[in-house]
Amino acid sequence: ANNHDTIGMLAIDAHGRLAGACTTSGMAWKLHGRVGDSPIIGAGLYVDGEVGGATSTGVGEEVIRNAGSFLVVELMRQGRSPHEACKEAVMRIVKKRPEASKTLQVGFLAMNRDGEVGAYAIQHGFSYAVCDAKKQDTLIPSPSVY
Amino acid sequence: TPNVRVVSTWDFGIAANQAAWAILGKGGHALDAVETGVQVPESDLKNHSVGKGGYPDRDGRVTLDASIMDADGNCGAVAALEYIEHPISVARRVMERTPHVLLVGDGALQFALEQGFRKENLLTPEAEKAWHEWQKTAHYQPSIN
Repeated sequence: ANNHDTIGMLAIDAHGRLAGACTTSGMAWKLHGRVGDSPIIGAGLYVDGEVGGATSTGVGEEVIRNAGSFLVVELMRQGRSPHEACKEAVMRIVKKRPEASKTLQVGFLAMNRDGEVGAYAIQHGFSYAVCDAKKQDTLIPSPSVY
Repeated sequence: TPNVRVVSTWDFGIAANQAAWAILGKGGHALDAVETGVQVPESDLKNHSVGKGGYPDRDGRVTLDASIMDADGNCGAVAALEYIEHPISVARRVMERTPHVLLVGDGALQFALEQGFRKENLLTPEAEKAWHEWQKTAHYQPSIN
């Protein structure tokens, strides 16, 4: 695949501080002035020191529609693991637009305040990279609906 | 401190993580780590979805979006920003040096220039060629990636 849109990144440092970043050139050939989820706090990125952080990739319109990263963090606040929270947020998108979801990609990546990580995507092919003191080049295929 | 960790999306996240790790591994701040980390794909001309080298909009303009956030709810973002290689760093300046959260378009560029960022052409010859190819059909169908 050559259309991997957006990098979203989450980190926890030696003092237990969380931070996230998200940056993109957006959809190729978009309308001039189109803005996706990446610069929208709560959509493409959300961090809460009490809980964890989440970021997203894929078709930004669907992430904005569902306040995706905020939803993932709130689900973790309610006790979901990062993996469970990402899966539930993806299923929310699929449930809302089941036909459209067959042909679009959205992936969520989350990390809780303990440094646990999880992800989930609509389509097969999303992956995420993990780096810690043990190993700096881990690439993990995300589970997905399709 | 066993849980020091950085994660990021897609395969190009590996290189980005390693740049972040150069800060995290030395006890640095997570906010500095994520800013430095995502600058790697922003500068990667082979990456057509982030930063310089990104594919343009249908009018041939490379317009960038970015956001940054910390654990305490501090955040900043820019949208539809042109001509600046590192929108994530402009987002951080929005967070730290303005009373606002999001600047867009010409206003975001004006702020970036006032902050000392350099204006440059972000449309690489490769991306321009791909845009001209797209214009032959002008069919817009975002593909599954």
